Amino acid sequence: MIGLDDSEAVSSAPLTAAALCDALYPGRTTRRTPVAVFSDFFCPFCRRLIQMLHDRQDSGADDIEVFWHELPLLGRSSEMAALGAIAAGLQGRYATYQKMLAATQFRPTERFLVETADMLGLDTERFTRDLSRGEVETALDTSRRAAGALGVYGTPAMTIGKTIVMGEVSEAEFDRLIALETDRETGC
Amino acid sequence: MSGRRDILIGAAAILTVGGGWQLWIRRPKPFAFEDMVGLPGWRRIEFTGVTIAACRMPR
Repeated sequence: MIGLDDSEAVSSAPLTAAALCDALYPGRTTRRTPVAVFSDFFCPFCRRLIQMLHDRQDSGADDIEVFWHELPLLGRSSEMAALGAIAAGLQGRYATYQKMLAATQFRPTERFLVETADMLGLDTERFTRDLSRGEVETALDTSRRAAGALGVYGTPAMTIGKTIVMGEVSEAEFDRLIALETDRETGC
Repeated sequence: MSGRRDILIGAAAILTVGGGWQLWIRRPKPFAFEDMVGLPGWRRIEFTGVTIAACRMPR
């Protein structure tokens, strides 16, 4: 398929079953249903899912807690954009940065990523440093390992509690899945 | 007069059947979950089609 790059395959061993919940939902603080989203900025269906989840939160829905995971599968551009989003997250602005990238057609050069960070008021010197820091790579690696453990082979994909959802879902389907998982109380 | 009434009845019948058909094909269908081997408590559902195939991991 166009755009696929063989060098982007998952490089690390999958996580153990016991470590999965912590990796998917790090620092979970509420009893709302946790949702982990695996996405790639260059996957158009992921952009739609990102938008849907942001719209849902903007509309005041408070039943879920979303944890974003970058899973760049479509080559170096995807990986660059993912690193930018994670670096923005180190300054507490992941969601804003992600929302902007998901709504933009772009080539993710380092200059573009830094300019976007600047536009959003981030500390650009720190952002530039963070792009190549181990912490960013580690976050990406953790997401890849979690995806590997779950058998996630493409994007968009999600976990809702302990339910793995592959492919694009409608908002109605998503709401039904949330309701089912909330009833299930799997303890993840 | 009766011709006009017949047309209205016919149009209403078509709309009713069409609306019913739309409701039927868009009805919420039961989800088909699969248990995950090796991951107790986990289950999986796949929404097939182009969406996942378009952005998948190289094999």
